[in-house]
Amino acid sequence: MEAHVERLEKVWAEPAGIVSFLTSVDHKRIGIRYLFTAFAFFIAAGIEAMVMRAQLARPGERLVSPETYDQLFSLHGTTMIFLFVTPMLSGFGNYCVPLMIGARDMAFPRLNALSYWVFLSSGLFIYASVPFGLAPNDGWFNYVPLSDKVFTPDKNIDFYTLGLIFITISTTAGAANFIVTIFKLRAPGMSINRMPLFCWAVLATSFAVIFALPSLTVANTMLELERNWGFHFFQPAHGGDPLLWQHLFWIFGHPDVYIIFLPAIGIVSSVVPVFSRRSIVGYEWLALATVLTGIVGFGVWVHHMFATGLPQISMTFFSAASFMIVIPSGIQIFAWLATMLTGRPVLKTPFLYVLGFVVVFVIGGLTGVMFAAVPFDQQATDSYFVVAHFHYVLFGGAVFPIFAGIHYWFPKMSGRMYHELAGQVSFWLVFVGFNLTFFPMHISGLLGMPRRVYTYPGGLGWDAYNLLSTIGSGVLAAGILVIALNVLWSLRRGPPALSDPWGGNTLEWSTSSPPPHFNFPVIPIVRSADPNWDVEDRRQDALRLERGELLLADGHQTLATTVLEGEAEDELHMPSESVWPFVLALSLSVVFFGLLMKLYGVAILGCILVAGAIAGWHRPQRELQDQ
Amino acid sequence: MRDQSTLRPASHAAQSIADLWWILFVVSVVVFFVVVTLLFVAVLRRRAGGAPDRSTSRGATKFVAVAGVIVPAIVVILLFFASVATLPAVSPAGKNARMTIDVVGRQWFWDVYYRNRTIRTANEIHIPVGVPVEIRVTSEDVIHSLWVPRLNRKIDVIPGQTNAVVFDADKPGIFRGQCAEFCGVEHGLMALLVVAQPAPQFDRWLADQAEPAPKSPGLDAFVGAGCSGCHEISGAPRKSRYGPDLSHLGSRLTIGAGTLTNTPEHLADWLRNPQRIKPGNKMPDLGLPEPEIQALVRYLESLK
Repeated sequence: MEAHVERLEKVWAEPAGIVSFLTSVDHKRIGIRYLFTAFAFFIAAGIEAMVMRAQLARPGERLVSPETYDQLFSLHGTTMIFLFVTPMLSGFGNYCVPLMIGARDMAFPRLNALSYWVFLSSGLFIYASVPFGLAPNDGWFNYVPLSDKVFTPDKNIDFYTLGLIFITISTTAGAANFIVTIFKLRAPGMSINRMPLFCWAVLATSFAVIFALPSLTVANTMLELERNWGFHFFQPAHGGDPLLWQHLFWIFGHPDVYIIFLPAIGIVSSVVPVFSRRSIVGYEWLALATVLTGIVGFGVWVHHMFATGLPQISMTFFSAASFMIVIPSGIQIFAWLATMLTGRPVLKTPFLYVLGFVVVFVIGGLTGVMFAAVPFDQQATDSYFVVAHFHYVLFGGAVFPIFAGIHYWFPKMSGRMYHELAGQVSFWLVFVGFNLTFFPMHISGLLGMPRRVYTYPGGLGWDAYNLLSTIGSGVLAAGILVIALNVLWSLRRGPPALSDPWGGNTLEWSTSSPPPHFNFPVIPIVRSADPNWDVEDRRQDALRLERGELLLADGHQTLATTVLEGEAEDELHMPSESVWPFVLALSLSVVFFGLLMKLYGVAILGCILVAGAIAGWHRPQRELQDQ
Repeated sequence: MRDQSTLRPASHAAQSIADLWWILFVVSVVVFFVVVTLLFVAVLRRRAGGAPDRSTSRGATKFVAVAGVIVPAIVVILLFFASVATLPAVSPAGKNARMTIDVVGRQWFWDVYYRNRTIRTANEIHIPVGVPVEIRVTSEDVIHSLWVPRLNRKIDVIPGQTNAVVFDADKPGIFRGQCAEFCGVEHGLMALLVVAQPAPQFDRWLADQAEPAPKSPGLDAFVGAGCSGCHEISGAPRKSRYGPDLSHLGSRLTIGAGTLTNTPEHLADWLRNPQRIKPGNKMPDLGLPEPEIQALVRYLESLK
């Protein structure tokens, strides 16, 4: 047995130092990088939010200029959506999906590395605008004609359009990778109806990404052509239509809400059964609800445009579709509740965050139902009520589960336990701070306060609610600080974690904490939806390791299985470390820099570099030979 | 008095929306308390921990089907009909409006026209009480949104397209509104007032607005300071519609699109330093000498 493991270690060993940093294709390292990078952007977005709350603490405050305020809220929204929540959940997906399905890496490890490097590059590209005072300033949905050259002549919007086109390369590549990984690399026996619900969520999300993102890319390409190349897609004076941007944006934008939300509920569906100490109730219902949400999410975009003067009949259709989305959410909420009610819940930090998620998300879901009602939407949209609503949905629906996930998988990722008391303190600070910040916004919205105002006059009844929000944001920030400190402290000082500290039901808990490069010394064989609770099956894995069966130690190998039944099909040879993904991302940065600065020679040079990097990437490599 | 609360409706339309809100609110409160109660029961009732229970519970699955599918389906179908039933009240179609006002959104003020655009004013819409008035909106620059919450839903103000909303105040009053779609740096201070008056008062107001401004030496100061490069005063020689119309500025309640109350002191402040009061707005700091400012204030305030 020892000999087998040693052999695997040799095959999967990575070079040390900076070279390894730039060339690693290990999904676990990439996943953790995603998490840290996204969290750094989260801190930036949080600081932006705090400055906005300080500006709005009282009427007529002049802490920042209107222009700065506009950049702050545009950057905050863009960062939270594109640079924090989406990549954060990609990070969890990257780390957990191969471990949960018993694979040794993602299906395309180098593409995976490319996704990360492109995410990092595009994030830095967007933030490069900040020191020049040219951050995007027309909101995260960047409506035309305000974002046309006539009204925003500077490069603010070019940073936005090019930055988002850039980042969709990362997200799309990641989605394709997840789909193939989940379809083809599951452990033998893990038929699709035994797959962890987290993987269902990532799968549905990835399909949504593939279908939704092109619309965003098209919209941004058209806007860039209009701004810098003399096209007129959106200008009514030249036969264009400003509403075209809104349709294209929201055909992406609404599914994107679910792209953000689905992986988060995947985390919830992972945590609930483990801490309720029972198999999840209604597995099939939850899987179906996940897929349904992903599909129906494409049919509701017009509810972002109810105030634009569309015909009643089309609004009524989209209103009905928006009401319908309640059903899958209802299934999810009550399946989790049923699991808790019939289980024996253990109140550890991850579970506390899940409970907080349920409370907050139900409020956000209910106000979401309100926005499906056309007349109410027309009254409350673009007011602080909608700001409250989407923070309940996105912070409640995605960030609470992200915090649950951070604590839940911390022992697996780091090999150490986090500090439980600090974890619980962080929960209460976050929960109280969140509600104190965002609940009063419902009221200020109903009292008529529009969103995106850099200041407001006193005497309209908004002052106290705004002050409460500002105080709440301080409490919330303190909670997030506790999480960050807990992570940093526990990485060094936390007591060593067992391989399975929670008694988890999925396969990542069957390997050591942290897992070896090759994840599993022997490919596990699965016979239920809670494989790590099948004690006998895991004992059989150990016996097979001793016998050297299903070892797959001739190079970077993993097992391919059939899409539905999960029957063993083929042994796959995976690529190992490579510097080309990094070089390719760098070359792409040159292209986008050239386009931004209108240095088209540089952009063309970038394209040549990209072609070179792709060629280098595809040069056949010598396999590690059997000795 | 000049609040813009959606919960203090002053028209049938706003009342219908507020009624719909209260229905949605009550349903939401009930659902919320059911879920939270179940959550508390789940967490507090049982002893914690132990070996995993792997049984499948038919009762639990049935619970999911009833509580998660059937009940929500019935509730949302009812809410959908409540919503559809409210729709006619907030739609301009079939409203037999007896009067039309054109409103043009601009960065960052409201350009208001009466009687087929023969009368022009800014940031203040007068309407007769109890008369449905159709407000037709369009934009000459970016997208804005006209929102006077106590009178009706918001309506987007989009270049190249004319939208409409009906204001039908059921009581006299001054109702504040403001731009609800982000439209650039001064979006936050792009407000307006809707003044609902009994018909006789309204008619008198409209007749006053139709009068050209009287000739006076102040007009020369106005033209001399370059104001007419952007602002129109009916009767003045040069006409530019770039900035708000000032023909009857003295009769208005506010200046700077609802930013300051209309007093001689505020107007003088505005003329001295518009960029301090509304940074980034289209009126440059003019650096006028103080006597000229005082003359302009006297003149503009005399335009009733």
